[in-house]
Amino acid sequence: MGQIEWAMWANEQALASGLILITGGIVATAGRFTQWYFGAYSIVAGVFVCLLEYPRGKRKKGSTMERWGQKYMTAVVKLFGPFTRNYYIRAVLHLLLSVPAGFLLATILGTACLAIASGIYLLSQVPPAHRGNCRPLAVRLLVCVHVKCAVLSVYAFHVRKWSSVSRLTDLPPAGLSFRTPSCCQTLMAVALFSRGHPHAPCLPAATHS
Amino acid sequence: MMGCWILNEGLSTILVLLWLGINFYLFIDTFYWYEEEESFHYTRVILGSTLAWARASALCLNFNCMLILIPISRNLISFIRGTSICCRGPWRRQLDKNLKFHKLVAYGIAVNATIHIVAHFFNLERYHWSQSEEAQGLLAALSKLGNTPNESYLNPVRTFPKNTTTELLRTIAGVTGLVISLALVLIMTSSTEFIRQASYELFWYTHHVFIIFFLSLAIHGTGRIVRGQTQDSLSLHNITFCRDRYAEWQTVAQCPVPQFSGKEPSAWKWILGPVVLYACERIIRFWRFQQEVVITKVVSHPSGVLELHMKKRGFKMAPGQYILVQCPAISSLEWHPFTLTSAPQEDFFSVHIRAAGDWTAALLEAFGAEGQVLQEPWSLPRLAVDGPFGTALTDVFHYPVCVCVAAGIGVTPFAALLKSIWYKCSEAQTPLKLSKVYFYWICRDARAFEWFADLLLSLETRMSEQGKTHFLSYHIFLTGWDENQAVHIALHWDENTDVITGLKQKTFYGRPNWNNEFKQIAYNHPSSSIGVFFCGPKALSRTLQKMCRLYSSADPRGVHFFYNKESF
Repeated sequence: MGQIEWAMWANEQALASGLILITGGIVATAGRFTQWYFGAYSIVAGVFVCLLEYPRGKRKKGSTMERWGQKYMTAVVKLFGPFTRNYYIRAVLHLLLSVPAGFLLATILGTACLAIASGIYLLSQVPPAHRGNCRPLAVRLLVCVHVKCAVLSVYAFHVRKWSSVSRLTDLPPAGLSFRTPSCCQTLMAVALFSRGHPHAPCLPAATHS
Repeated sequence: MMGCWILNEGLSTILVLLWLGINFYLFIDTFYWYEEEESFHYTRVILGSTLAWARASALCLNFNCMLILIPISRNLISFIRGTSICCRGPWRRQLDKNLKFHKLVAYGIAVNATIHIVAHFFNLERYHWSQSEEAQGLLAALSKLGNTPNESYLNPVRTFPKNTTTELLRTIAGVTGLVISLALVLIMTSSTEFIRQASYELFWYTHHVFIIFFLSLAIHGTGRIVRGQTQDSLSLHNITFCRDRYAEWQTVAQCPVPQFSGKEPSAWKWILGPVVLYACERIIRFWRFQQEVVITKVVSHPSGVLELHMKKRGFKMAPGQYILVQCPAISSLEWHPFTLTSAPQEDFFSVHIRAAGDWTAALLEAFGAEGQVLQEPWSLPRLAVDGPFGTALTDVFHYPVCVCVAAGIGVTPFAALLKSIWYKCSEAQTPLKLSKVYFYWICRDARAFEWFADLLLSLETRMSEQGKTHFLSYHIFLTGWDENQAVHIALHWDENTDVITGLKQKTFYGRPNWNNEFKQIAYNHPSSSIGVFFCGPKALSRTLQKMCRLYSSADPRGVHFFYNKESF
């Protein structure tokens, strides 16, 4: 298998998702479905995604066929600088945009398609091999998950030590995650978005309320 | 000949209109059936006409999903091409447009899928709303049916959940529908022309999601949520009388409670045949892959071109056809097309492969084209060959005069043709109808096609040996050159042979003046039918068509140019 340019496919997929979101949104708003306001959101999100994805990015090697009239949009997209150039940010943006549309039936297909586009953008950023100290994204994600689990287990241990078992089981899972120390969350964010950070994130001592 | 030529041009349009007509007929017929059918009267009370929109588009989807697998069954198409049908030329040419038809049907599926999905969104929303407390009268009564043991339900949404999405995901039709739509979107986004050119592998691998598409389609209707009144119930329950007396359904004998049943799934009936056919097609491809291909000669040409001579049992070809080649050592899933460059009269078949991408570059490396070291025959990688496919260029032999125009890489089918013409000329038994061939080769850089220049040189020599020096008249046009070359050419202008190609006929620089060329040919052959064959970019194809029309005389006895629109 040769060099597959995933970002090219992600761009096509995101553009198609934008159109699907707009269509779903129009159907829901025009038909005044229950919770149709999600449909209105979906139209706006779809238009934004289409405008962002319309200019086709330049290929790594080979010639790029520009879309008709894309130079006008390119000028606008370029104004946002690194926010639009960076595919990590695009991936996260698409994922976040797709979530509200998932609450309405008419736009659920748009949600799924945009989430897939986000996944493909993320996949396109996986570096092909170890470059110096830079770790592959999958490994970094795994480290983050382990960090979070380790922190939670340390926290849970402390809670259990100072309270009865029944109190621990009463705690809702969502509550636990919000109690992770903010420094740990920052470290996770740094680990996720940094390239070639030489040091693995270290475990801070967990504090309990 | 003339009748076939008219049929040529119009047949594609007729077939497309036929397909469109069948689609419209199926849509409109089903739409009116669901709008007027008695057994769906109560369903229409809840859903309105979106039921008919959904069902009509569903039938069109069934029809198009049935059609879509047929144009890509290459072996079936070759088989059909082998059988003789009247007016073979135009029908055979339609078989060459199989990929265009596949894309057209795909667009049809996309359009119908959109209508179907939107209509069902409305349907689900209406079913959902009729279970709410705000629903009154007949609507509420119909939705409540099925709550007691003796009743069959009409509304597949039985309770009033907050979210219709959960209702969708509870039904087989909903889940499979979502899976099918996602599969369709993924297939279409990875099949755009840009992606196909940028990364063929991505397009090819993602396209295999069609397996999930067809599996989900087969089970999409098994939930039977499209419900209509049963025939027994219709005979007992008079709709016109009873529909306003819904409060008395339980009590009045004339209006027993209506019974409903789901429509049985029908998609599998439409797609079973083509799926089985396509499965056979893949099995045949696999079997052909297993067949032994013996590589008899490997020639490495100076400008990154590899010539492979191969033999395979039972292989029969015609000039202009192509084969698909797979090299398991490089990739076990990729088959790449190459035009055959050998004549059918030779006891081997050959292809010329130029390094133009990942796969071809890897192939050249595997065959030792890069290095100076000679490869041993047993160390060469194994190849699998499928084919030959494509329309043969044998129409050339039906005309007394032929004009063949090749642009750039389009020269490859003409290699096979010219060799084949030479062999036929040499066979003294049957005199050929064809008496003169004009060959135009337009090329930016002749270096990549040195092997073709060699072929022309050998043909030139052999023709003069046979005393048929004037049979083949070729003109090479070089459209790109640098200063050094220009100076070199100018210095050697007066020599006998051409300084670039070494041929007796001189190379021209720049593009040909087609008006002059066609005028000269028409003057030389005032009352002949002249066949024009072209392989290359579309712009030039349009120019040549225009020339053919311009220089064909109105007089039926005069010169006529017949442009053969081919895609090689």
